[in-house]
Amino acid sequence: MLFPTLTFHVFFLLVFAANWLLRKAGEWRLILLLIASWVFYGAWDWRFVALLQASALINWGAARLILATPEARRRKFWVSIGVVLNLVILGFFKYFDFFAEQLTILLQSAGWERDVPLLGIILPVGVSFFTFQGMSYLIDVYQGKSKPAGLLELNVLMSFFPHLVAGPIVRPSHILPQLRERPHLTRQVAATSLILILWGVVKKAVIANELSVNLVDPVFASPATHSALELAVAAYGYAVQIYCDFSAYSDMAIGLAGLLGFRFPRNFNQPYRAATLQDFWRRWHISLSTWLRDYLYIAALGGSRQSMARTCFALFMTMVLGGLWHGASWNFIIWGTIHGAILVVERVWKSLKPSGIGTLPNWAGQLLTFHIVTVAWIFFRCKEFTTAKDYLSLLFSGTSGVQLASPWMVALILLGMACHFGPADAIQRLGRRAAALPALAFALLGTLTLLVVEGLLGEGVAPFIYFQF
Amino acid sequence: MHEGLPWGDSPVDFEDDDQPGIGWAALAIYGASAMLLFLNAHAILNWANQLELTDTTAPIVVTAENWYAQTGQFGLNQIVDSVKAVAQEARAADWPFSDAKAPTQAAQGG
Repeated sequence: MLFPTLTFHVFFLLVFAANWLLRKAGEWRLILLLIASWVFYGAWDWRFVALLQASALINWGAARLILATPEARRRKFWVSIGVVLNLVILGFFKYFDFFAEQLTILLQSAGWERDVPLLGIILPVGVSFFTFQGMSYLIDVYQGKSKPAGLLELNVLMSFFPHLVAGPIVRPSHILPQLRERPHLTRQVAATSLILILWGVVKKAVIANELSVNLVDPVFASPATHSALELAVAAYGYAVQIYCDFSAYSDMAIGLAGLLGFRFPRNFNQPYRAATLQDFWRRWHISLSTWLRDYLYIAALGGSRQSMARTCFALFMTMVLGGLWHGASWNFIIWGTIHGAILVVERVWKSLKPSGIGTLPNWAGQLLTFHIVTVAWIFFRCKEFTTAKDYLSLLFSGTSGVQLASPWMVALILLGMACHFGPADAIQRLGRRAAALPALAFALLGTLTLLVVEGLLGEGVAPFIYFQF
Repeated sequence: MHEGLPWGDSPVDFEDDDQPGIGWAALAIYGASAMLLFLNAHAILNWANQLELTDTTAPIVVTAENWYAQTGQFGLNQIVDSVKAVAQEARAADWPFSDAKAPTQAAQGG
């Protein structure tokens, strides 16, 4: 069930009404939200609802064992078991076939003609998101950063449909208290939530969809038939497409949760305004980057309170594993490696830079960072390393070819970039103004927006890019 | 132990906000849905056309087609149709200095 569809619209109308009718009903409201989330998830594949339940049960059980164990070593044992079980779920469904293929290649190169059997496993939508959510609960309970949750609360936390399949990766300590409070909704929160949803629909259904179908997909499918200029425009187009696609999902998730009485954290903050790659990761997919920082970079790899070499190694490995988190494919590992390597270079330069050398002006840093990110996106978008390499070499070879980058496509790219250079709190400002309108006037404006989106929509809405992760 | 999302970390955090909003939100959401029911029969028809055709879904598809025809008779499909026409023109527009056209544009006569 995709957000910007009629099916989801009807689904949400029912959930919204039931949620507020049950606002004083305590756990019954949580049961409603849980069942609604299972229906939402089951619309893809009912079988995986059981996986979701099993994942919640494992984390709830492991957390109970941690809390029931006074001895520190045994507590560490239980948290390790819990984390390993989460990784087994993730590894089996997401990485088994990839590593089996790599093993086959390795054996063949060593002269052993053995085929490691592939299982053809179907990837459950959002598995990376809900296993990370489960792990953060377990680790937070172990570290005393989160109070333990009941089985129902943990199920709702992990399954809650606004964030279930593509984030934001909400922290247990942020959401569990909200599950225990009686929900309330103010006019400004309602108006801002609705604007977030509408803006998300525009970004996804108009900008990302159109760029994907009419520019990015055809150019990346056969780069050799396009001119160098076209390849450059398509690379910019993909940078805008992936931002509009993913940030649209986050905006809609935050808006939907807001309408149900929940506060979700911001997940994007004008990322292409970043003046360094470190700054980029403070603005892009914030919930994942902070997750990787807290649980992988600091907790598992030691963070920055160690020697420079070990810090750089930790940083690099965090980004490589962050790349692998996106998918079982070499292109994601290469993408993570590029980011990791440049973050290391930034860190080393920051500590070794001679005092006489000034820093880049902000605009130059932004321009450089944007282009580094855009080049790295080429590796992210191409399934094969050789395709990405060919794309880059064609980009500088100056050939001519079919033209797809129409003024409409360029206008959409510029529109996608323009939202980076407005005020960072533009949505909240709009929300304040909209809250002053009568509800039906707001409804009329929302309706007109959606009618324009319907008119601009091409051949339906493609799935969100981050669903595959 | 710090519990709760820090204030200001969510885009829906407002300090000076105490006006109740459930009724306002309900009127906005259900009001817009009612308007869309009449003004966006395109979406209903598209949705129905994507259903797998069975004995159960066939009447739904027929109802959606009839609804689209009825709203069309009253001119209610006009807004979406007008935007579609403008969007079609915008997609087909070419650079003034260009002599090469995309195959899709050429096929559409753009």
